[in-house]
Amino acid sequence: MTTFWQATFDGVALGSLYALIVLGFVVIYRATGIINFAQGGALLLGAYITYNVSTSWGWNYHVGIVLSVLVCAGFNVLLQRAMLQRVFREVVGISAGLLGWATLFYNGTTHLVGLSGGVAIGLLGWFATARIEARYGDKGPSELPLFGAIMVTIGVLFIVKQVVASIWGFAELSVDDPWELSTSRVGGLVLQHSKLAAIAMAVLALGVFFLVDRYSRIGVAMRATHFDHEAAIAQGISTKIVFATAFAVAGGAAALAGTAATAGPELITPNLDFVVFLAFPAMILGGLDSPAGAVAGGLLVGWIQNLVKTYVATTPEWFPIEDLDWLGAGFERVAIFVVMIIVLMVRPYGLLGTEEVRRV
Amino acid sequence: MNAEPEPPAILDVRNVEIVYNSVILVLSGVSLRVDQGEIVTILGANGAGKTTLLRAITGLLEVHRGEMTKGSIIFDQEPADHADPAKLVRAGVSQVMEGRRIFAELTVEENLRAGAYTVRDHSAVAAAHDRVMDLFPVLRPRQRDTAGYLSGGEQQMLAIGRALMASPKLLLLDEPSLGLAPKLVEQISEIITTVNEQGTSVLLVEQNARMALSVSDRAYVLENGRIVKEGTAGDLLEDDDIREFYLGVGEAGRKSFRDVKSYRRKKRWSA
Ligand SMILES: Nc1ncnc2c1ncn2[C@@H]1O[C@H](COP(=O)(O)OP(=O)(O)OP(=O)(O)O)[C@@H](O)[C@H]1O
Ligand SMILES: [Mg+2]
Repeated sequence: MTTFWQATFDGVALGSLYALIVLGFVVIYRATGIINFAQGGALLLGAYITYNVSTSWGWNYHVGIVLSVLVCAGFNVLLQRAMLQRVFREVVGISAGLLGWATLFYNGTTHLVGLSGGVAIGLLGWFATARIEARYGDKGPSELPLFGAIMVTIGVLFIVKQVVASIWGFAELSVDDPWELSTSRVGGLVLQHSKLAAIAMAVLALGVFFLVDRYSRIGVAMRATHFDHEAAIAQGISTKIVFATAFAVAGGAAALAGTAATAGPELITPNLDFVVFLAFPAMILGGLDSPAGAVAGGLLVGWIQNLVKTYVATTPEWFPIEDLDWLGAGFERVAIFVVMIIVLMVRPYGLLGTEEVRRV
Repeated sequence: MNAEPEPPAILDVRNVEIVYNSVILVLSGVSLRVDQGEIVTILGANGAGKTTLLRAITGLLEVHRGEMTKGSIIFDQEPADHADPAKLVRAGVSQVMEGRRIFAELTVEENLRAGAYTVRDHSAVAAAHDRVMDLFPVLRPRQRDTAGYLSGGEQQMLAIGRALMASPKLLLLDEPSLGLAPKLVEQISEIITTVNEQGTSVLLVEQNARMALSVSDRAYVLENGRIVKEGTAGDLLEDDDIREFYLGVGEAGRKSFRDVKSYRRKKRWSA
């Protein structure tokens, strides 16, 4: 039983991180219809800013958290503003170019090959976007800007990652946090303090978010905009403010997740952003447009991931198959997708996603 | 008539031309005015451009890739063309959109709060809320219910109530009677009258001409993007074309197909 509860505790701690990350995706998706891949960038940036403030500068860790939340919220708002300018050809071109250059370069080509490849790919991206724009027109909130905007977020993720790596390097760094390696023992369980802190932080942040979303003026405005964009505008709701708020919330949540993910024994590297991709199944599982679903999906994925990992490593006695090693390392990540598919077969909108409410 | 200066119009639309997607001309040379305290109706067949005109007044054209290429709109003595929708709501124009467009997934209460988005003063919101509840007592017990599960009539009342939350000076209504039983249509028209008596000017778009003309002071007839007739509600109720084509009460024997065609021909000339 101890094994189970230990896996559950660790799972909830991991799930809290997922919940924060997914919340960011959901809030932006709900307001704008965009899947903002650049969330991974905000997460990285958040983690490194906390690191920089608390470790490089030696300031108070909590000041670091606050600063990192503020900077990431601001970063996301700027990103959103940039996307509104509709400079899609340019941004898609530049990001595709950078992406191409880096992919080639990190796969061992020289700078020259990487650079020329990058330029070629960038031009391709530019022309492709220009063609699509010419085909579908470039006015109004049509499908195209959505497509363009999502492309832009991918490019931005990549740019941020490069910038972070060039400032702080690729080395694994350890953050000076108040928890270090300290733990408490309760029964047979080992409770890592950094994990308790992660759970507490997520509970606090999510609690504040849900109160605001449910009861505040901007909360109602965000939800109204999601369900009927034009009708919301007709009420005098400013979509600019709604979009900016959604991006700011998501930036702050990502900063918290990045900070929590690198506390305690965990180290920080520019590859931290991969947790974002593990958060995707949690988003789909919970329901794309539901913040409550973000929490449910996040916790469920964190929990399943830890349970599967634990039990694949040491098969329980009652289990008919003794040795599960053949499943391979990292099978817990596969398990998440299996669970996701099963849930989607039963509930196509995810656990808590909105089915259309219409009276016929 | 007399030499008294006219009171300033609450809404003055002058010679407006509207184009969608830079090419589709939908309205041209449309002028219309709503005076303080009036109820004015726009009649017109499907596709005449009624909704488009309301979009132009509330700044929603941009959402539909539409653009006002000529003319001007003056609301409450301020230029209102190319204005931001939020600014217009704050200035005092609220719209009940075609097809109700309530936020089906939100509660009744939340719909009303969305309608009050531009109102910062809590006591003003509370007062508007009380007024809406007095106007629509059916909504009172249902405030926590999901709006999408209200009946069609209740949804229309919610849509009107939501628009009233901003305490507008001018209320635009786009086919509020659409799909409602006669008794509910009656109720809606009573509400329009009451709201008007409480000091709100009304611009009403309707296909139900009988209802619309019975509550309004004046009316315009819009066909193929042009105003083809205007007058007091009383005059239009007496007008032969209106009687036949909007009220469905032709002189005996005139409802044959040939007459319809000749009417159409006549209409084209006038347009
Ligand atoms: N977003 C749009 N893009 C292009 N054309 C449009 C758009 N919206 C409306 N139209 C066209 O403009 C014309 C007028 O439409 P509008 O909706 O204003 O008419 P309406 O009088 O409100 O009709 P109904 O009584 O059916 O509501 C129609 O021919 C319609 O096809
Ligand atoms: Mg219409």
